[in-house]
Amino acid sequence: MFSLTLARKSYARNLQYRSAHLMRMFASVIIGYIYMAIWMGVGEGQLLGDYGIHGMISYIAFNQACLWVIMATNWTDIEGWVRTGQISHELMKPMHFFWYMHSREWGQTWYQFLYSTTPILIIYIVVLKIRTPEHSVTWLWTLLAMFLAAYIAICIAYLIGIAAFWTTESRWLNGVHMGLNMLLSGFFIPVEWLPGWLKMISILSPYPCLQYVPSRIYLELDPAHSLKLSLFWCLLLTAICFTVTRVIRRKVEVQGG
Amino acid sequence: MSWIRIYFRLAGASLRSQMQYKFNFILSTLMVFLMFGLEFMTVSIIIYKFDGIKGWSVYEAGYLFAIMMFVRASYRMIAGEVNGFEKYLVQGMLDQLLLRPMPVLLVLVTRNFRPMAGELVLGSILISICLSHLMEKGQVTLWAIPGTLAVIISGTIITLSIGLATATVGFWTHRIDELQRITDNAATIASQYPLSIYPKWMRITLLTIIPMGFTSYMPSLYVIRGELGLWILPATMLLAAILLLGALRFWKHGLAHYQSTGT
Repeated sequence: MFSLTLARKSYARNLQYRSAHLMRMFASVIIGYIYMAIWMGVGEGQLLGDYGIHGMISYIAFNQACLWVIMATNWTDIEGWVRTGQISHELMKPMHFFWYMHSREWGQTWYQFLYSTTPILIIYIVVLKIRTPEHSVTWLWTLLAMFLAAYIAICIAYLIGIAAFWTTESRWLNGVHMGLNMLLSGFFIPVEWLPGWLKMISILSPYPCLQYVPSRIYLELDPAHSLKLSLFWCLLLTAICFTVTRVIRRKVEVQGG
Repeated sequence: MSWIRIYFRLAGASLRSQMQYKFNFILSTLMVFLMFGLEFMTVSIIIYKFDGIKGWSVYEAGYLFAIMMFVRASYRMIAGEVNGFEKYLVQGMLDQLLLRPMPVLLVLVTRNFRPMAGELVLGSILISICLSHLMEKGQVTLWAIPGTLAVIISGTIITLSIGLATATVGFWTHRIDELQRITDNAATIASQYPLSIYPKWMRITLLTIIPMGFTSYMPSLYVIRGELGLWILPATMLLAAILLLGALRFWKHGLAHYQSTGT
């Protein structure tokens, strides 16, 4: 119940900045369009594998829309708390720290899904006529894939935030995570087009579950059972997050404040 | 003491304060290096796989990307806080800066000074690789080196001017992060690639409303492809100077209209 209240509060907080949100959404649509234009330039006179030029535009458009549900930001709070010493209060809350952070993030994720992912996808469908699933059940599998992607992203963001216990600042780790996401998740380049060794690293990492798996399901290029991989990473990352939380509870070192 | 000496003194003090957390400082520098290395790897994989982009070879496209990396790093190094100006307006932090006995902009740009070593080193390596390859092919001569320096200088000034003008809008609107996503993030991403790949409306936007097309693409057309003519370099420099003067005047006008949020 407490989790739901936290999520609701986080959702309500996001609703406060509507004009800023509209501007952000507009920027996101434009940035997505730039990525599509790059592929249109690259793909001129090329077959572009399973996708074709229209499929590739749809792939990038879906990824750009989906990006908002995997953009967890809870790491910034943890970093700030570590620097100010407030972390000692946060760890005393009558709820496991991992679930506490998770609940806060889900409110934001739900907000982003409703007010960023969905309208951006609709804009691309209407304006650019991107591909949509032919079978209605695909929409359900896509939603599930996005839910699992969001869960994985929240776990990764949590681990990045937790790194501040050792480094005091973790924004750079988040930058590297964004770079890895761009390269390994299939956001900009489908995983099968990465060079051999990089493709191997990508497959062994949770990154393809963030974008590649949901978009391949959306485009009906992969069956629903590819979600097993996402499920595996959800379980593994949850276990890692719990273990790390146990370690930091013993390590916590208040900086001052 | 001249403003330039004060700038270096304040920037040095800011740098020394960050170096109090040595491990964090070194780690963050390495992370930035890795971050931009990954970004470049993403772009280069596509360009290599499809052997260039709309008539631009791998090394020509790599040159454009490297120029933008350099320009962005120089801008963030010289005036990083201009890019994060929203917090000064929303949290009332600008009030503290107004009390200092020197221009507000000078105090602002020296706060949280970062040397951006990772990006500058990576950018230098990339530019060297691309230029040496183009020289081997006989496409450019040694004159491309001073030409490249001119492109970086004018590009940095244009980016700084656009960043400053965007920040100034905040004196009226307070929230500018989202506007910066368009004028900074989106325009920078677009300028990393040849403008010829974009539809006409976007090309016109990038050459007029948000003239980021002049940071790398337009002058590079001459430096590495010999197109347009030498005039484009002084013309770009002149445009950069006009934009900077305009942005500074706009900043002064905006500052006169500043109203504290009181928080």
